[in-house]
Amino acid sequence: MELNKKSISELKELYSNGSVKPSEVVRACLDAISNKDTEIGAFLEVMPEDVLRRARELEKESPEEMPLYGIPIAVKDNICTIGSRTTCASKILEGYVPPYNATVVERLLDAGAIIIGKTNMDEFAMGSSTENSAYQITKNPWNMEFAPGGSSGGSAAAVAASMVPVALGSDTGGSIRQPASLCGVVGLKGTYGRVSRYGLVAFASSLDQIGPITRTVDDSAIVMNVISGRDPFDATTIPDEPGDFRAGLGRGVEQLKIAVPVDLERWDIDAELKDILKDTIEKLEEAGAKIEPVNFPDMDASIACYYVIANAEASSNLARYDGVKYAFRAEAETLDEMYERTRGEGFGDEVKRRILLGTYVLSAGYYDAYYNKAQQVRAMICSRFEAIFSANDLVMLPTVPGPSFRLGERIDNPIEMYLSDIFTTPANIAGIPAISVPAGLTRKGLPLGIQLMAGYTQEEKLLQGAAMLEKIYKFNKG
Amino acid sequence: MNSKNYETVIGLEVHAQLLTETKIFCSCKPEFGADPNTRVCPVCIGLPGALPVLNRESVTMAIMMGLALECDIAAVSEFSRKNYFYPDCPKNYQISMYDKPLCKNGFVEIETDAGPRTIRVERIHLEDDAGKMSHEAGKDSLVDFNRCGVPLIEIVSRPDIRTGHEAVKYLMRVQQILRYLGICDGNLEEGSMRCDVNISLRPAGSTELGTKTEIKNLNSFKAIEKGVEFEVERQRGVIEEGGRVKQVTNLWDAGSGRLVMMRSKEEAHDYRYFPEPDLLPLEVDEEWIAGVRDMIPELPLEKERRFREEYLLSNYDSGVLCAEKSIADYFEIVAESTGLAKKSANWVMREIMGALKNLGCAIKDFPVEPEKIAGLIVLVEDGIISGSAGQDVFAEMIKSGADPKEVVKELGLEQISDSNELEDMVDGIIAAHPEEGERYREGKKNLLGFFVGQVMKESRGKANPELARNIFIKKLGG
Amino acid sequence: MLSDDEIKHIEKLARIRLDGNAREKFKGQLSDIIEFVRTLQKVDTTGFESETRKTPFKPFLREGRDGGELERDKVLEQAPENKNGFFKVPPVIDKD
Ligand SMILES: [Zn+2]
Repeated sequence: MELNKKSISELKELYSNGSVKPSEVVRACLDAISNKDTEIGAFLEVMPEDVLRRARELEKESPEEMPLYGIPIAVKDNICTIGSRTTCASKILEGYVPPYNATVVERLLDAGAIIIGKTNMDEFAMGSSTENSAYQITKNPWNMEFAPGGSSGGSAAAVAASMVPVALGSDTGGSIRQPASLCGVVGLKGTYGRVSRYGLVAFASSLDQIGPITRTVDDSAIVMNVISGRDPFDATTIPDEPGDFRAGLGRGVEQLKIAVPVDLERWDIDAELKDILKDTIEKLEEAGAKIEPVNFPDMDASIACYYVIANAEASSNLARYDGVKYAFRAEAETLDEMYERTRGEGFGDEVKRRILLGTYVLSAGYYDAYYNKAQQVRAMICSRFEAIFSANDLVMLPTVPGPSFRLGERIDNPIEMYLSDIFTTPANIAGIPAISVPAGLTRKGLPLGIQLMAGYTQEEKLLQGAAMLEKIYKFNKG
Repeated sequence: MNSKNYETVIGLEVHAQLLTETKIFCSCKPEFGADPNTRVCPVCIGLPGALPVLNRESVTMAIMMGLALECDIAAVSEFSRKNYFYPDCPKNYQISMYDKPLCKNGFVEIETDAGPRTIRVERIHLEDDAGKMSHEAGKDSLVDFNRCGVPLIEIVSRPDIRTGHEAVKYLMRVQQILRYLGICDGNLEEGSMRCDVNISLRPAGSTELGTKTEIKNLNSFKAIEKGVEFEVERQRGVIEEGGRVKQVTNLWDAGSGRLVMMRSKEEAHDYRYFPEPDLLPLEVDEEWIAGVRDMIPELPLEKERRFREEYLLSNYDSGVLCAEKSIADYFEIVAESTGLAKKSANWVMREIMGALKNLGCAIKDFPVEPEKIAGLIVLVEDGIISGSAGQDVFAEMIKSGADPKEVVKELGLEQISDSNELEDMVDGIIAAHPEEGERYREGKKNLLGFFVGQVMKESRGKANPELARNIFIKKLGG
Repeated sequence: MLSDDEIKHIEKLARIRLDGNAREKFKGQLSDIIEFVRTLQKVDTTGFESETRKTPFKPFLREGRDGGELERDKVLEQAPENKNGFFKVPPVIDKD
């Protein structure tokens, strides 16, 4: 019994019939990590002793009371965990240990989960390959020469390589769904405000959401049930209590209206992925869904809008890393020199590029042309989506235009890297939920993913559709 | 102060710290003079991942001030980020209202030496305070974040003020109203109320505004009056020499009584304001406003008006008594219990306020309750004790806080108002001074004072002088 | 293309110092990105206001107090430098 390969729902069953104990599951995961992670590089930190202690403590409690009893979980390194380093894979936060837990971490611990370690990422979640980490490269478990995607590349790789059944990621423009797609796992970003951002180190406040990366759709729903809900420490969380996200999983897709963008041809989509999409449409129709062609919001505008808003917010959010209060400080004689050198040396290139861009678009004389205009475009995209979802239940499209790319291939071409987010940023711009489901492998053996989006707060429908896709693809079963 | 040819145009920005239980965006409890960095949490110290949540009480207090200054309260207002680097600002942005303030278009009525004036108020908005820096010349600077996140309202006047004297009167009125509302202790020295002054000159009769300069660090009324005078003279000198006034910020140095240039605004400052994405727009409904309206006490001008009408006091007396609400309240209790408004006003203004000054204490800490003062006034008015004995009793009451009647008894100060006893004394005195009696009868009527003096001497001040006087007139005849 | 002065101005605002080589590389990349996001300006957004940040729910506010002050040692132990309970920074030199 390879416990590290079990899903959350399988582990729950094993716990409730008493056939395994948390310490056994945790040991299996720790073993998998020590066997595989030297090569893959998914984790920045693993805390074996704390993890085993926590597992043994849990053994005194009853599994029935806790929805994530004894479930090992990896957490992206931009989510604050008391007493263990939270660096956002940046030199500027080297050695930083937060004195408080993120709300999601508190919720996971209350639910009985065991946090097994912190995962690698693009520095401050800026990037799509996890190559922008100041500490290490993470490899795609399906092919070590390929990128795992990003920015939650460590989390996606950890789950794909069965080192943990679940990991948390954060998604600002696709940072959960894109690596999930590239690593062949399920990645969900909920409605903006569904999951508290308190303790998530901010990249772009109006776009960031924490979400689960899992091997099954059901697991994704189980984790969302735990981490969702209003948080008095995050004024942007949705006040209504969410329902049971598992409720729609077995319902099928009969009568569901699924919109598919008509102009996907315009994008350079991988041929095998196109075939999968076509095949999926047929199978969904067979299952009773109605496929509706729609005109999708202007995706070029969406990605430009995304880069303006995200980086404007980032330029301000990242101002606090200045060498005064925590972590890295460069030696300097004067205050200004200290600021400029700390930030010049502490941030990596991609982060500097984005801070400078964000500073530029907010600066005097450019605000209206860029930031203000981007907000208008955002309002327009939101209203287009509202129109689409007033007539349809779901939207289906690829998560990423193709499979993973070789490590190093795009690192010097920022715009090409940005364009790989073309299908994922619209959900962040509109604040709507979206999920990537693994759909199959290319002939070369790299995973491909299909994405579903749903209307504002319609996670239940989203998961209902995703469960059907999972049934069609049988990806993780085979 | 105005020169022959120029008109001075002054606008004031007043920052007032609100006396909320907690800081504006977190749960820390502010305390003036606390040990450095002991009133801080992840939110106000800007730790990675922390988020602001607006404190309702701070909004209520800001609305209170808005209503007191007859402002319009915005149904929707919005916080923005003001981006600048300085070590006392942990996030390196201040959260402040920018283009959508909470209160707009109010006014303040002031009394000046030249008569009443109305100063318009452009806006009142909420923001968070910065920490405190201490600099050792040429050495490192030290930062205390305790004050970070203390709620401030900024009250921005229109450029309606013409002289330093008016500026001070405006400020005193604002301070008085803040204190009446109980939302700020208005302490300039401790910095719970701070004032920045914008000054420009323009040719008399012109309606255009000249280039303005700013003065900061004005921490007393005297400093404000002198700082304005100093700057007006400086600007006039520049203009008269054919120069151009530059947009600069000056610091008032109280020690030398001079202005020191802090920075030139014509370069740099680009605050890159944009809407704070961590907070949703602030909505204030009619119900909230109505509730706040009910909390507003009678304000100084209304109270002064009522004192004039109800107690028939002069402008001057009602102004003095209403300067502080607690004094006005004290007076009203005295006046109600004695039924003697003018007498009570005199007692409060002379004896009580004099004693407060000597004791250096506030009226809330004054040891004698207003009811007891009323009792004392009645004793004097009823002739039970003399006016001068009243002073002795008052002094004793301050020491012991005792009831005036008991003090009178204890000190044996009750007046001799018994005619028989006084007649015996008078007879004795007349017998002892036959010459003076003779001259009195010959027409030297002012010798009556001498006789009354003798009786007061003999009775050690206890004789009722009015009664003694009448007896003398009767007995001496003529 | 961004000019040298423009990129230096942005560096100054962002308090990020680039050395000569990096500045040249960034100037090109940033100019490309700016060119790319400039496509926004072609989008017809008539009828869409930037200020209408949509709030599908009523924002909530903090009521009362739930504590949360940190122990000073916890706060200062993360600081690069501290002295007598204060955070310590290099001298603020006024550039005027
Ligand atoms: Zn705090």
